[in-house]
Amino acid sequence: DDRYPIQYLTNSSQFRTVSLYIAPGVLIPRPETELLIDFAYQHVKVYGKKVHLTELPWLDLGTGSGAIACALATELKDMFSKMNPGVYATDFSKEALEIAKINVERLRLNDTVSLLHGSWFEALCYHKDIKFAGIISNPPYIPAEVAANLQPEVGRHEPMSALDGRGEMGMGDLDVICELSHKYLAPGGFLALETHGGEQALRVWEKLWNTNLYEDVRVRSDYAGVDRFVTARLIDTKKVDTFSSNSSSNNNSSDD
Amino acid sequence: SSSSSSSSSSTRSLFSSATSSIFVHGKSERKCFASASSAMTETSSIGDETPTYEDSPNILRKRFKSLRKRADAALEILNKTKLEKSKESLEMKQNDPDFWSNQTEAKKVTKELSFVQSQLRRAELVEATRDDVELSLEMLEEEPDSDGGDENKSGDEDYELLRTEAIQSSIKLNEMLSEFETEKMLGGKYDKLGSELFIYAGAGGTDAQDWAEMLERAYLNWAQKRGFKATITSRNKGEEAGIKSVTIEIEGTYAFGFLRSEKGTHRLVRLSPFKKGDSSRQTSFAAVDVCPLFEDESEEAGEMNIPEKDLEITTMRSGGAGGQNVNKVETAVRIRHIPTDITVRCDEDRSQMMNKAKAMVRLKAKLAAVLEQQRLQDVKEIRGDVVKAEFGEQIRNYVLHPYKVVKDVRSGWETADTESVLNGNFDPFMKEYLRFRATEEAAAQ
Repeated sequence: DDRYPIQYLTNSSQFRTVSLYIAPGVLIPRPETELLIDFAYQHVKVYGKKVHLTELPWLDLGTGSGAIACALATELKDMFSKMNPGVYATDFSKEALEIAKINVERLRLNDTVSLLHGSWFEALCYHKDIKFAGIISNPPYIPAEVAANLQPEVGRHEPMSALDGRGEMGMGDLDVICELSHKYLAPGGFLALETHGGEQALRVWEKLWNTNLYEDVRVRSDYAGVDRFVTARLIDTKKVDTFSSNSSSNNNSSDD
Repeated sequence: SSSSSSSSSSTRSLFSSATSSIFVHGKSERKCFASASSAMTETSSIGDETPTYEDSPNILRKRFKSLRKRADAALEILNKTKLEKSKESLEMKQNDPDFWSNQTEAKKVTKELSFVQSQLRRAELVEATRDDVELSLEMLEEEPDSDGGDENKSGDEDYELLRTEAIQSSIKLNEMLSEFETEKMLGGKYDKLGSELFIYAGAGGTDAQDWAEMLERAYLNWAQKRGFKATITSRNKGEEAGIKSVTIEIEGTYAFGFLRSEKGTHRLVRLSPFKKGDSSRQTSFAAVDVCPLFEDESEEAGEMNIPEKDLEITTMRSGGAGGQNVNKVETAVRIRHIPTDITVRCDEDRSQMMNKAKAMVRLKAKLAAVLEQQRLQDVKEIRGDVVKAEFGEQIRNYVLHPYKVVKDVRSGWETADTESVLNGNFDPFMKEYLRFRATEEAAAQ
């Protein structure tokens, strides 16, 4: 009994309303991750209506099978009108991008989803000045000791590079994203990350607060009650300047 | 019962002829049932009874008097002129080149148009059948009566033909009108919608689970006979036999209106087929719950705003890591509405998000049904203890041993033909409950 994942056998997995092609080489989409799109939707309803935000693209870091990018493009397609370049999806694994490409084509999202190769923000090297209205990611976050003892379906068959977060407490990849996202977010832009939950989520939360660049940093739980997600908004300095001219902590995001 | 109906309908004169005939009709139906004989000789209530093939033209004519009154009342309610106007305006909307640009609106209009068209066909059919009976009766009058002798063989045959025609049309007209009148009693906000039917086995293990399965079979048969489309969306088998629970979607106009009468606890008394050698009677309970079938993006679902803090959303395998650590194939979602303790579950779709969305629609449908039942406006007003009490109410007893009877506790309607009920013949119970409820509502005003 090899415990081969059924999704690799059937080559399919359902993610929200989207049916995805799945094969070894990508992480099988998790139901928890579906909530990231709900958070994005809630954000857009309240904060995303500003003109400059509706015209800016979204970013799915570490897209794997393309799940998040395709669900965003499909469900929030009213946002992605003629003015909007759509969703950029990156992954460092060429194998994963092959599978993501199949999904983008199957779902006829060629005009909305652009696939880029590279490790995290390095994939945007040809888009130097790009700014996003939102960045969403489900990066590898499993701590090393847990990664060694996973459910066989996961540990034996899914790509470890999509699971092991590396670094201390499995936060290697999350750290990179937390440190650099502000350079690629437009003022008022949205950040949503999935984590291992518990301690890790709190650390991400703390990290974002300590940059002094984000507001409304929140930890949100999944339906099993695990505090798994962290969401935040990049402070719109224009708004803050009118509030207090003395604030020393506001770095304009275009300072590089 | 007939006196209370006519006193309450003073402000609804259109209804009075329809409803009073229903009540009288009901009384004589009851008599028919108990005596199991179809020959009625009392001329006083003759006009309201189901026409039979033994009827003489005289009797037919008397029946037709009341049939025509009912037909005219039905036609007035249906209002052909209004229907035709609606049809025209809806068709105009459909012919607009921009019609399909707004999908939700387009769907609404198409649905409405199809309903208007079917009501129009109905009105035309009632009118035509009424005229047929009238015509046949007129022609019968002109034919010489059958003498019994063989003087005018062909005349006899023509006569018989005409009489049979008149009877057939009368029967047809009576059926159409009864159906229409029953529907008219289905004026509740959601009555016209399709329905979701839930059956849960009570305590008692295999006996109760077998009983639940018997009910499942009965309702599926009922749905099929009435031309409703029934789909089992979720089913939980019992370990040895029967089912622990089942959810059935029943699509079709007025499915919910009819099935509303089934909500509550059904009690079965019989010799248990599972306990060999034990000759004592077993009592088993099964609970039936009903709620309207809201489409995902229906108006009804959209109108209801339930604050997030009132909801407890959980997944089946709560506890444990989840996330990247686990390959979870089960995506079922359970939602509990905390103030009323109404809980719904959905495991039919392939993603957790879709199960949650569907569970929300189902929850709203259940809340809507409760709002309607308790005559409230806002979800905030619902009292959880009342919901629980109503659900536990015993509504019908099915006794198979030592005597056979199925009796509805609310309307009092009963029948000894338990086999036909268990085969899905719930119609008499449903109709009696509708009448019972209509009387109660009339009395309460």
